Amino acid sequence: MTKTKIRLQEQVDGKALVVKLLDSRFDASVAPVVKERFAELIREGHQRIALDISQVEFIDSTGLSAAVWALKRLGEDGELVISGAHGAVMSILRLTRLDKVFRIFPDTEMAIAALSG
Amino acid sequence: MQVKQRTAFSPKEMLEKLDREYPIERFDRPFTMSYLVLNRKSGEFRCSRAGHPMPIIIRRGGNIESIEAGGTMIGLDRMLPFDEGVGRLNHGDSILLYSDGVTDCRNLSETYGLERLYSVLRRSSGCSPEALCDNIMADLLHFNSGAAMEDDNTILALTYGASQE
Repeated sequence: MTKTKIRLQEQVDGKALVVKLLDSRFDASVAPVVKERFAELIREGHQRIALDISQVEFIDSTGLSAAVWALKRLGEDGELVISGAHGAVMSILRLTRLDKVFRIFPDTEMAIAALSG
Repeated sequence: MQVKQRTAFSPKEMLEKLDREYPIERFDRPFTMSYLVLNRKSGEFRCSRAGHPMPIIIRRGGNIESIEAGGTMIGLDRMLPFDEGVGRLNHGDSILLYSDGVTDCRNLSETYGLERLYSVLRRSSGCSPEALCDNIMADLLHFNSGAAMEDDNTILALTYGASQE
């Protein structure tokens, strides 16, 4: 298990890479770092990524943009799924209809199972 | 002499066009927006949004309605379809478009949220659009004790028939 720039925790589990955001906010203070790290991970060949945002209490359009950017960058050969979204974060995903764009799972185990299937 | 015919896009068509024109690969980020077309004579409107907070109608009597129709952010290149809502403003009704910086504004312990915004809007029914915006900003500043806002706050209010009063 490795830590990247304090805010991200990464773990390979089967075919999936789990990226856990350790901050409670996924906004402009965090999103550029997350996006940059996603770019590196995708360049390294990771194609099935679960973004664990169970620690996140607040997300704004910059956070959402970073996740959308990664999803699009992965293209048809890969997938980014979201796990652990709850409360206000889940409401924002519904409001922006991104709950129809991403596959969203209640916990990381279910996300890993879906990505490994 | 050539006369160019003006092409009026429905909100849904406009968002679909922008979604094709601005894929995320082009500017490296998606964006959100609301698009509303109002018939000034009849008060009828058509509206769609792309991942943006829902436009809010403040009826003259103080009832609040939000317009859910739309789709996700612009830039996902037709990943999801956009839909379109229709409605009618009556004399004295207002409509509010705003950015998420308003409802996401935080003080030391809380997020401003939709309920606080609704509360200001109910108190502001019958106000001019300028007063409506001022009331929201005043409440936001009171909420965060005048501290610097973390995000921009963009507010646009329109009252139907206001200029005839």
